[in-house]
Amino acid sequence: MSEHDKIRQLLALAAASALEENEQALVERHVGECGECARELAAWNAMAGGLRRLPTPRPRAEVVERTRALMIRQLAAEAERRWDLSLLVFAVLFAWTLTLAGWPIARLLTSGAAAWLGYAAYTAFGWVTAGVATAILGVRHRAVRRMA
Amino acid sequence: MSRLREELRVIPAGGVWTAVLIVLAAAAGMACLVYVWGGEDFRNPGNWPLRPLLIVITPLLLGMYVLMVGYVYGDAKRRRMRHVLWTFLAFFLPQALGIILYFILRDPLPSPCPKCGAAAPSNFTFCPFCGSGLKPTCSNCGKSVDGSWVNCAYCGRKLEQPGANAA
Repeated sequence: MSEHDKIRQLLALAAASALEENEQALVERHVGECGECARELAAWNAMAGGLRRLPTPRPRAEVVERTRALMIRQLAAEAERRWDLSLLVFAVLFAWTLTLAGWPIARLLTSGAAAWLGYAAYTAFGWVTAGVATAILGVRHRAVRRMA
Repeated sequence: MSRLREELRVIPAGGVWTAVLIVLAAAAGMACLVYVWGGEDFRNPGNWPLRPLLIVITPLLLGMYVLMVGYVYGDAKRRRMRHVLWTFLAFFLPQALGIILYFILRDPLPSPCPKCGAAAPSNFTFCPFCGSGLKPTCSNCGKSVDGSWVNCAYCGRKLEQPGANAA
């Protein structure tokens, strides 16, 4: 592609003042030497000037207000989701801390293989109970949401 | 941090005092266990890390557990959930699993009605007190629709404007 063709592709952007400084300088230099491009740029400038004189469309106040309200709601919902996630992570870490801190205590209060077995049974009981509770509550929760 | 402070206010005063009492009682009980009734295991120099674990960390963990159960109580109450049931679950499910379950399954906070200001659960379409719409609805099937939808997801009717019958 020749330089003339490359510059021609930039003329519309030059009229819209959307070029970088170095590109703008390149276009101006070429337009000073090339009559065809100078005419095309003048046509683009006339069109851009006409577009700038057109009244800027203003959205209706209720649309602006509704969009603003929607954005506020979405931002609040996003902040709430982030907060929920951090609480959940904290609760999981806390649960693990309790489980790990519980082991030496169980070891001190009992002795021998019974300690291992007792603690393993206690942990398994916790997870099974929580699993059953999750299943029951999850099903119920989904049913309530479906009815809403 | 302000959000954390705001959320901590949800814990009822009774829960905070119970947590403080439990921390003190547990610390005293653990100290007795270690120094008065404790066996050889506790006095063994090789087991020295167990003493601060039992006397300081365990009571603090218990106190934090009670505070979290208190939070579940207060939070479930303000979200119009079954707060007594959730408090029992949070307290009695071992290893704080009830608390994890609560954070997974809790409902969104009720939002105030734009007309009368009464708090209504977020899944309500109309305010139960003044009857005004809380969410946009489809003019054909009456189901609540999202503000960004172009068509109703339930009956397929094209919504007049994003949000159809705005609340």
